[in-house]
Amino acid sequence: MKSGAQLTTTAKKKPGNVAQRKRDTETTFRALANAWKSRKSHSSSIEEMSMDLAYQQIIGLGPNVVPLLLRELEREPDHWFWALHAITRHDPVPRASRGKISEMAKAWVAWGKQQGYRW
Amino acid sequence: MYLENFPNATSDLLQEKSPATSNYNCIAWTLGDTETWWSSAPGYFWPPRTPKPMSRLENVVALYRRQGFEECPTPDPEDGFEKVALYVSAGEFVHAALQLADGRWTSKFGKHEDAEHETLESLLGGEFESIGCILKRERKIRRKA
Repeated sequence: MKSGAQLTTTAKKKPGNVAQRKRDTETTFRALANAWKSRKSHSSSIEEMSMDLAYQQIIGLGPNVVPLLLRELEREPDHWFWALHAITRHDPVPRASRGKISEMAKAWVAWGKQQGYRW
Repeated sequence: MYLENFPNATSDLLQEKSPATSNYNCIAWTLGDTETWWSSAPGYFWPPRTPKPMSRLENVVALYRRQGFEECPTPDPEDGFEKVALYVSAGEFVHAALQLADGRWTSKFGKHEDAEHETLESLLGGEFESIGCILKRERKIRRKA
């Protein structure tokens, strides 16, 4: 299996049209997301989770990965909030929803739609 | 939960008690909260006027002090008190465990299950390096053993 780093590099260097680059980003994201989800850490630290190499490489995909993260949050809420915050520099989670994972996901999905993201 | 991360534990010592969930984490679990992921990261719940980041042990100790805990020298059970143990790895806070009324311990492991373990040492030797602090407060909620 290719490492996350190899996949990211491949996607960045591959020439092609917009649709092809979108597919490449999606393929890379899926591989990295699966790698991150399969990690065996038992820590409760979001900082520790987000320092994982695959997670950092997802952040490195930049703004193009935002709709994929939002789609993932809508499908299955997970700790993608740090990545979204790092890429967009926004934090749309209202005070009353802080720490409530499903409500945090809904806040980000609503924010994404408001910003015009489609997925 | 991955037992290989806990070389000092056996399946008998580390008994899973709930399905895996991202809805709450170890700190929430020790405080009787099963709806919130406590973290100083953006968007998560972190009590007002509590120092950040959560990775610093002294900040987590400050959080527990605000919840009525005080540091204590031993994890040995004391009538009328509940105790929390804070684990560290590479000098950073990584986990909190709560003592049950019968002296055993209960832990929620990240996004994984919560489980009961006979001793604090059951979790050492792998992912969790050492115990950084023990705290106690008067027991308010009786949990089922």
